[in-house]
Amino acid sequence: MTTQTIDRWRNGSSPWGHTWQKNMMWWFIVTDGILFAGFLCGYAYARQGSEAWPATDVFFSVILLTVMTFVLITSSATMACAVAASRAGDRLATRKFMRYTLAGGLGFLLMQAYEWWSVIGAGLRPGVNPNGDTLFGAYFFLVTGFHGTHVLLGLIVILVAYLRRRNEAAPLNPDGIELVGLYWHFVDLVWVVIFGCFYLI
Amino acid sequence: MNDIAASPYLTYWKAWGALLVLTLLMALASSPFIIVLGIAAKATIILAWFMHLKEERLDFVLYVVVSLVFFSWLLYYLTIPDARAM
Repeated sequence: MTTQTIDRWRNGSSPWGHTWQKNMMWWFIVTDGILFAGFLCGYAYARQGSEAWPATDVFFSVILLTVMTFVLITSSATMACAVAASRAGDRLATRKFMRYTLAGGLGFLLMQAYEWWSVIGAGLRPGVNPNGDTLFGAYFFLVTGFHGTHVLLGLIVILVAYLRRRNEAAPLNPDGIELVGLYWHFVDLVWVVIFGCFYLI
Repeated sequence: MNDIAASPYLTYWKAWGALLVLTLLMALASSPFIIVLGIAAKATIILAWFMHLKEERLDFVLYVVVSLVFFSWLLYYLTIPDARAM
């Protein structure tokens, strides 16, 4: 009986045909995704029930946001390339693509800082909105701030993974890079939803 | 583990191109329906190609996709009709 159980779960190391580390990362991604879904549904509720919700062009520049989206998607693509390069055992290419990803993520964060700077300059605060419903400010800073924090944490994690692979003697560990990549793609995925739901609709 | 070793980068840059085109289309669209379709298409590309769900077992893919879609749907439809009634 016991042998059968151990055999089915491959000794606890491979529950879904992949490593348990990857499984835990996906659990985190699914639950974190549901957390973002909760924020966005709260935002949708406030917006549907409001009679003075500001139009999307009052505070936002669609051009800046499209550029931000381009940059984040590109950094996601370079991260996917970093994972592929590490699988192929190419340390130089892995680190090169990780540098591109870091640059993209940093660029995104700087543009978001600029966006916050300009909406704060226009008088928007979490509880103050000169152009309509105050809840708009609350949800704007909550949702974009929570996502921006994810980007910042992702940058730190990628930087640590990058530095740990700086010399030839250190193991390349492609599985670790894949986990970092999964998190980074998730941050990109959430931004795609926020870009659509918050800035375009 | 994976069978994309021959030309791994090309697949990602194709996905990247598709994502950029969809982003532009969404930015130019005015209909909420088109924008939601664009979000769904982009999410599918990111999950399937960048996050390699395409290469995972079907039961695992269903676990990820069904939980995300079901809980988002639940949150939305338990709250939004109330806001509309206000």
